[in-house]
Amino acid sequence: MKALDLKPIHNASRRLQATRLLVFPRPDAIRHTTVAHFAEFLESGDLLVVNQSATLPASFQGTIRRTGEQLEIRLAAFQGPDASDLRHWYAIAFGSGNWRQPTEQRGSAPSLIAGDWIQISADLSAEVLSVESERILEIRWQSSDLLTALYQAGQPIQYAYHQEPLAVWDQQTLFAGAPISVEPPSAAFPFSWELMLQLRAKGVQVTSLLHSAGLSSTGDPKLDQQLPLPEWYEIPAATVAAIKATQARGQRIIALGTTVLRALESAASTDSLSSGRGLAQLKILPGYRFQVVNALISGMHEPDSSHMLILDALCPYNLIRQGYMEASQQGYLGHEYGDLSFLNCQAC
Amino acid sequence: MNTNPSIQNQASQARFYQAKKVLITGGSSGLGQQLARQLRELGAEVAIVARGPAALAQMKQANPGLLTFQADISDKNQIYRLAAAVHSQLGELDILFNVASSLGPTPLRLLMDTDCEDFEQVLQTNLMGPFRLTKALIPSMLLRQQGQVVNISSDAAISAYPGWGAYSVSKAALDHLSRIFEAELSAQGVHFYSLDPGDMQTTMHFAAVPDADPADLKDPADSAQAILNYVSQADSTLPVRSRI
Repeated sequence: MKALDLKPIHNASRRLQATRLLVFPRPDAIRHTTVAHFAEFLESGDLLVVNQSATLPASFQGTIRRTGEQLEIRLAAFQGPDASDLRHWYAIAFGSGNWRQPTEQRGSAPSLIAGDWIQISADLSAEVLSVESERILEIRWQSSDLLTALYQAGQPIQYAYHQEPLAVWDQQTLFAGAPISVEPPSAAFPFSWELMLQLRAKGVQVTSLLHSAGLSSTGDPKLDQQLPLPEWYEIPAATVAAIKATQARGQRIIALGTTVLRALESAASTDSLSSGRGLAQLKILPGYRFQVVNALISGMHEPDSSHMLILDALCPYNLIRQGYMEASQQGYLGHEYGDLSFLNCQAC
Repeated sequence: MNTNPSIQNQASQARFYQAKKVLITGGSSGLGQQLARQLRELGAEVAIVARGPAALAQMKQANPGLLTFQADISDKNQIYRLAAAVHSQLGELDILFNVASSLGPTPLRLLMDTDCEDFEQVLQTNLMGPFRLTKALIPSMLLRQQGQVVNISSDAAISAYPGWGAYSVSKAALDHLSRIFEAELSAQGVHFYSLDPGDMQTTMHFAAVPDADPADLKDPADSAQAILNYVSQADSTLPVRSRI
């Protein structure tokens, strides 16, 4: 098969008309359109679920107190207990350096042990609670004013394919609320309130949850295999009620982004779907039987990413490959700030 | 049955504001401070934003449980941190009061003597600040299809008083910002007001009119009460802009 050539883009001002939408409306069909036409694929009574999390500047330069060595840590996934207490995270250690140096070309990350302290700024330090697989750290922040300190010392996680560094506002979606994501829940980037009002006018219902969108890649294939790490989520009672009412009507639950899908399916994996907080641990592989989600809006992904496994679980493998090949020929843009796909192959 | 209208009024206000999550910019002095105090008495969960740490600390001490955020709403770089802090610490907002306001340099000057940079700074505080904060804080209101944004206006938005140029222009624009937001979003259950509290005994008014007679000026506590009464009517047929 021809290698995918999804050109990356960074232009936060891209909007509906310009964003391509690869649609799998049935298990045997492919359509090419733009996000402006998204409402045509939904029906009155369908339910769109969105992730309300904002994205923190999640990259920090620091010094290990015990050894004096410098390093970068990137937050990888929020661990709860709730969005008002942002101390507990998984993080990944990197060798010191700026975002223009690919992480794989930096020196190795210094070795850390449980009990280490990483000093980030005068009012921000991280206690290493445990070290998993060398570079995966469980940390607890300490600061007199944590949110202010995180925003002052943190830099947005950057993508080597961008020409210019991203600012904090480049990373926020139109739903941004509590800051628990480390990379943007980016499927919502091309959405606008104009489109949301259009969906509502058509009778589509919209509801929300919170999910900590975690680090998507580290530059180290061995480490990447362990992603995504457990990610904290919170599903409000009103959201569960809306989902159950939609299911009772025999209509579709559409996840805007894989973070929404992961939260809902994780919450339903042990029991029937209930509201509350938890850690999404579920890894979705081809053959997975969906409990809640019928359809997904997602970005255009690299062939070997964990996102592709979710896509393959939702629609037939050959259909996805055919759609991606056509998308590549038509010059679709990939990555977080690129084009979108809508996978609607699952029955209600 | 109690027939005293002010007590009835207070009871219906308490019903409306009870457990509502409210953010007030400029909440450490003048009208903002009075709104914060009265809303807490009515059972709302209140957070205030202001620039000065000393005044915030004082408000916190006098009002245990009050959430305080230090930020300059005229600074674009601080809006995302502020919005994130509000969502994290207070949760999804029910009502946003944009009270923080700037006259620009005083004594007030004719427009022809106003530096462009000073004019811009007034617009940043009085217009862009409320616009950015509204954009950052109302998505959860739009998702839940309920909420209110209250912008504080002035009679200077309507009357052309010499010397009040930058401030007047900013408030006229704020009135229209409120009207357009209302036209675009009222069907979603989110409502916008631009309320003129009249001339009050505040530091800002005395900075603008140093020889003002306090007897001619309203007590900001009374203006706050009138504003809270107006908003609590939750009547979507009320005009967006009103003099209180």
